Amino acid sequence: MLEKAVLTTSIPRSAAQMRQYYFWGLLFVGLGLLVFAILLSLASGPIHISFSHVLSLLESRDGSVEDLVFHTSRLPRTFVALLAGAAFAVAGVIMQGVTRNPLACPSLLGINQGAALSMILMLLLLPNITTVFFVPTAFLGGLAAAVLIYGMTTIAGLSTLQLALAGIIVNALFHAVSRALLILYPTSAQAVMFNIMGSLAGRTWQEFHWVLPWIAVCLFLSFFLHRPLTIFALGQEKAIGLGVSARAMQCFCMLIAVILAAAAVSVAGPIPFMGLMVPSALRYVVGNHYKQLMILSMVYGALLLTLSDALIRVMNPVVEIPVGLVVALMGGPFFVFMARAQTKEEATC
Amino acid sequence: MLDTSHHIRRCFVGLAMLFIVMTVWNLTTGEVSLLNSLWTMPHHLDAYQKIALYDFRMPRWAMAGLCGALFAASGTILQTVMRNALAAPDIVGVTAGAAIMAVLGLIVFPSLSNIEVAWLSSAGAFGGFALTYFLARIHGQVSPTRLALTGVAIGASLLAGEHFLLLIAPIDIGPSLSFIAGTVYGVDWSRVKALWPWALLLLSLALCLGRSLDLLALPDETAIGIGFPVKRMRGLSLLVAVLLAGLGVAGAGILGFVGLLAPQIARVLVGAKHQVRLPMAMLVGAVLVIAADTLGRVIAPPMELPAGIVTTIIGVPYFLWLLIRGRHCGNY
Repeated sequence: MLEKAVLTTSIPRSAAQMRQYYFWGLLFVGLGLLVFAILLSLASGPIHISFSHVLSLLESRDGSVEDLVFHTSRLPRTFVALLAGAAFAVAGVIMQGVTRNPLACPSLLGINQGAALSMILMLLLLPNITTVFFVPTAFLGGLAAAVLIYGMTTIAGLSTLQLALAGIIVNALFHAVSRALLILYPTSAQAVMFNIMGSLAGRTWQEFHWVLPWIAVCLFLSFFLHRPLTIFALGQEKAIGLGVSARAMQCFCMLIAVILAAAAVSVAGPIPFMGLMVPSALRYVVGNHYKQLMILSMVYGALLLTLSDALIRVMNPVVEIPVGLVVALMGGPFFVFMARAQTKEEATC
Repeated sequence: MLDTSHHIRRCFVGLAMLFIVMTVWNLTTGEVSLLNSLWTMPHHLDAYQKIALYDFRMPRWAMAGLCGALFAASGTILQTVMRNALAAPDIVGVTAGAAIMAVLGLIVFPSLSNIEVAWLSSAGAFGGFALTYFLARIHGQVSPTRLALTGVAIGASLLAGEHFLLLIAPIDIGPSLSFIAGTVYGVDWSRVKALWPWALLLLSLALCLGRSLDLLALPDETAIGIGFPVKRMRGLSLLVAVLLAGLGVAGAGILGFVGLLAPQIARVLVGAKHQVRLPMAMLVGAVLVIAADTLGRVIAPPMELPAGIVTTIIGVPYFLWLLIRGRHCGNY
C-alpha cells in the first residue's frame, strides 16, 4: 500500500507502466536464458552429454557412464551454482539498499573474503567438524568483516568511494592471510578443496544439502524486505517519519544479506563482484523498485553464475578454470565504470 | 638546522645498522643454519654450507634488497608527483600491468632472457598506469580516492587475467612463473646479474630527481613562477617511477605494499625533503623486503611464505590507517 503510494506520487503513470513492461520482458528473457544456461551446464564438461540425452536423463536413469556423471556431479553442481548466484546477487541488492551506496556488495565490504578466511581457519583447526557448522562459521567471518569495515567507515566518516576502497584493501589482507595459511598447511585436503579464487569444481549433493536450507530461507525472507528497502531509499529522516524502526530494520536486512553471502561463499568460494554487477546493471532498467529488483536479481544472479560456470567448461573441459576468475575479469571493468559514474559525490577526496 | 641534520644522520646510521642485522639474519637462517659459524665465516664452511650461502641465500638476499629499494623509490616518486599518499605502484595498477605482461611474454616466448622480461614488464607497467590514470580522470581532475579505487579495480582484473594465463599455460611453464606473485624464492645469480646494472642506473636517476621532486611538491603556479619546467619534469619523474616498478616486478614479482609503506616510513623518519627522503625510502624498502623474506622463512619451516604476502599483511593495516586519518587529501 505504502509502496504504491510512493510510486504513484513520484513518477508519472506512463513511465511506471513502461517499467512494468520492461520488468516482465526482462523476467521472461532471464528465465529463458536461465533454462538454456542450466541445460548447457548439465551438458558440458570433460564427458560431454548431448542435450537430448540430458532431457532423457532428467526423466529416467539409464545406468550409463553419462548417467553416473550427470547425477553425482553435474546436477548438484548446477544446483549449487543457481543457489550461490542468486544468493550473491540478492545480498548485493540488500546491501546497496541498506547502505544507500551503489558500490556496496559482499565482496566490496570484505564479507566474501572474511567468510572465506574463517572457513579456511575452521577447516585447518577442526578438520573433523561436521558440515552443519560450515555456514555459521562463514557467517561469523563475514559478519566480523562487515562490522570491521562498516564500523570503521562510520567512525571515520568516509565517503562512498572510500568505503569501497577500505573494503577492497581489507579483502587484500584477508586474501593474503588465506593464501599464507594454505601455503603453511598444504596437507589439509579439505582446505585445499576450498578454492580461494572461488570455484564450483567438484561440488556434490553434500554441499547442496548443507547450503540449501540457509539460502532458501533467506531468499524467502528477502522477498519481504523490498518494502523497508524502498523506504530506506527515501532517506533516514523520511524512514523514521514513516514509522519504520530504522536501526533495527537495517540490522535485520544486513543480517540476511551477510547470511546469504556467507552461505554462498561456503560452497562457491569468494566469487567477487557478483553482488555489484547484477543489481547495478538491473537498476538501470527498473530503477529503485526493490520488489522487481529483488526478483530480477535472483534470476540474473543465478543466470550469471551458472552460465559462467558452464562456459568455462565449454571453453576448456580438461583444466578447470575457477569461475571466480572469469567473474573477476568481467567485474573489474564494470566496477571501474561504476566508480566513474560515482562522480558527483566527491570533488576532492 | 644543525639539530635536523644530526637527527637525519642518526636515522641513517640506525637504518644502516638495522640493514646489517637483517642481512646477517637473512643469510644465516633457513634449512641449513649458519648461525653457529657466524664468527668463523667464511673460511670454515663445509661445501654444503658454501653452496647454501653463495648459490642460494646471497642472490636471494641481493634481489630482495634491490627490489625493495626499487619499489620504495617508485612509491616515493608516485606519491609526490600525484600528490597522493595512497599512490603506490600496487595501488595505481602499475605492478599488476607489469606482472601480466611478464607472464604473457614468458608464455608466448619461453626463452626470453631476464632483461627482456624486465623490458616487457616495464611496458606493462606503463599500460597499467595509463589505463588507471585516464579512467580515474574526470573533467581533468584525478581525485586521490578515485585514482586508488580505479587502480585497485584494474589491478584485480589484471591479476585475475594473470591467474587465468597461469592456469592455461603449458604445464612446464606455469609453475616457473609463480614468482610473479611476489617472492624471492629460487632467485639465482643470473637474474641478479641481468637486473642490477639497470636497477642501479634507475635508482641513481631517481636520486638525481630529488630536488625536482621537492619543486613538484609545490603548487604548480609557484613552481612555474620560478621557471621550473613542471610538465616535463613531471613526465620524466613518472617515467622513472613506472620503470622502477616494472624492473622490480621482473625481479621479485609483486611485493605488495612495499611501495606504499617505505616512503611513508621514510617521511616520518627524515621529513619530506626528497634528497634525504628518497635514499631513506630505498633503505627502508630494502630492509622491509629482506626482513619479510626472513620472516616468511622462519615462521613455519620447512614451508616458506612468499615475501609479498608478508609485506601485504604488514602493509594493509597501515593503508587503512592512512585512509581513516584522511591525511591523503591535500596534505600528503
